[in-house]
Amino acid sequence: MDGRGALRHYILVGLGFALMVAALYMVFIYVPTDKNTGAVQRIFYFHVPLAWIGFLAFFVVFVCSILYLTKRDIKWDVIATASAEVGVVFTSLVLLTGSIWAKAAWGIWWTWDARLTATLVLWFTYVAYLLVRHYVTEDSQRARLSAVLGIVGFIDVPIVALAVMLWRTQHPGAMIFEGGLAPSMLATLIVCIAAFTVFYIILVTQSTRLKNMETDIRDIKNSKID
Amino acid sequence: MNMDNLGYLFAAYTIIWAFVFGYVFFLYYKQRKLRQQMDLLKDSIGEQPNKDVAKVNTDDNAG
Repeated sequence: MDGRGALRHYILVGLGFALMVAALYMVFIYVPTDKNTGAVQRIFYFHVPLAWIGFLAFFVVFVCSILYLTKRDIKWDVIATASAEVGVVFTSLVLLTGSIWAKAAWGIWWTWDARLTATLVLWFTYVAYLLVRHYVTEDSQRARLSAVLGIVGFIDVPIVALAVMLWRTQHPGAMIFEGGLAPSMLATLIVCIAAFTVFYIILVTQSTRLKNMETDIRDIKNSKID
Repeated sequence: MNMDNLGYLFAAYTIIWAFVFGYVFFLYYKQRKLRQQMDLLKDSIGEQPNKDVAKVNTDDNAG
């Protein structure tokens, strides 16, 4: 990392840390407890940002996959992989925290509700994406196959987002857009989303850097063998 | 704070931080391993010309 890159990285880490501290303060101290569901409602402030960042991550995969297929520049493939990796981590957390919340609110760990099922399908799709990358050894074939999967897999993102409107689901509706949140709750949610967005950028940047480093090392080794 | 269902809240946030730290540690571990490999490669590339230079110098002195 050059001097300017390192400075940018430290500024991002500092900003991410400050935002995460503010988010935790707001979630556990500032925001009032929900009268209907009690303390467990506080899962919402991390559950929703994790889901949004999961969508963002898969959107980045989608865009980078299109760019790779049109330009055939490997840098887009590397960014797409890094973003898919982070997206899978965040979506795993969405499923786990959602399941815990469901147990507390509905008395069950899981139900085959449209939104939950579509989210699980999304998770499986991008796990498959990472498996393709792991098992296909030829570089251009791997990049091409995963780009196609990255584009096709994104079809499920709008289905997950719109599931609560398209079908009758047990999962709560889009209360954020309908103005169903108190101002303090909305402010807390916005700070949490900002914190996770910065965190996502840091993780994708670092992961991309490592993947580039991996490629450099492999190229040097290959050139030495040649 | 309303104390009902606090166990679920604790479980959810514990899982979130466990995953987050786990992933950050995974990236850190990978970075350390790649740095070591890079250093080894740099050493092996850097040593080769030095050895050649040293050999040439020795030959010059002998001649």
